[in-house]
Amino acid sequence: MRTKVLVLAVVGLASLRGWSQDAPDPQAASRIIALENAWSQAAAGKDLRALDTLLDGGFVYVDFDGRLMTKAEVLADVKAVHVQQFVTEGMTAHVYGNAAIVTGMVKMKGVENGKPFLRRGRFTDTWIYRSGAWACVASEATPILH
Amino acid sequence: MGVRGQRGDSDPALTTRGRCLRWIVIVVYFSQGARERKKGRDEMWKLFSVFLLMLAAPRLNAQSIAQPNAEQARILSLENAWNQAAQQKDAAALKMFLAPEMVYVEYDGTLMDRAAYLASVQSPSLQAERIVNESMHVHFFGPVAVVDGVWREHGVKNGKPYALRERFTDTWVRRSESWVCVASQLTLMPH
Repeated sequence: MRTKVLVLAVVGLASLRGWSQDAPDPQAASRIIALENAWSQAAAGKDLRALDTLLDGGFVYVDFDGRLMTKAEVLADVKAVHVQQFVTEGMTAHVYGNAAIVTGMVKMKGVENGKPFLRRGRFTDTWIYRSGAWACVASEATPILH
Repeated sequence: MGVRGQRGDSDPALTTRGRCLRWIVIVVYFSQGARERKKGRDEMWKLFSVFLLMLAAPRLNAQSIAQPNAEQARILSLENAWNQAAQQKDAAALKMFLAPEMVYVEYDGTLMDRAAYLASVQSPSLQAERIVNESMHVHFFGPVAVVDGVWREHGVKNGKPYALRERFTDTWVRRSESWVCVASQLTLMPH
């Protein structure tokens, strides 16, 4: 519960409407990194409400095995899989006006269909700023094979 | 062919200025190419790649408001031009629609910048014989477009045949009335 409150607070602060609704704030890159961290927390804590805020309605996701998923499918997946660890590192944000690209690495540990798993991959996320907030519209994860 | 049908000089939104600029692009492109002209096959490829780029080129008319279908056709044309250019190792063509700061994640998780990606495409040890995109979808989010699709490639690498099937997402942003790719990532799929 405490984690969920904390995640919601981070999401709320990071997407705060303290500036024009059309223009992102000058610290967009650091805000987006904060949202990425909030995403990790929400995924580990199965906080679907926070994830719903972070992910755009038209969100598209490519999973580690190349599966193409919608937002609804991602949320259902988060609900079904027991994640023990979800850590992101080496993140870099590139801001293009009202859009941003984040690259980084992710390490996930958990249990899926009764079987333990450990995944390590590289991801690219695309964020859009509109209606006064940032939302992720696309994400792809690729296993690191070397 | 449907993509081509939505563009061309019959487009009423295309201004005279736009047509002139297109021809300037062509003349510049070929004047650069003439210096390093090699064989007829290379020239045919350049002609074809320029044609594809022209199809996907911006209207060069800031006052016109492009229709979503036209924008989608442009981006899909650029995706197809990318395949052709990669197969032909044509770095000059690739540079026309890959942003200088583009980030690229290869199917094995390797992170590359544009220079590293172009070097990998031009590697003598790699010879892509066929590259085809399937099931592409364009998603528009204001001035940003995300394309997802399946990339099939086969060829010879380090003397050995290979075949890849990968899911990709490409992120395109509008820049100076054109579209440039700022991020691309590939993930292996089961065959």
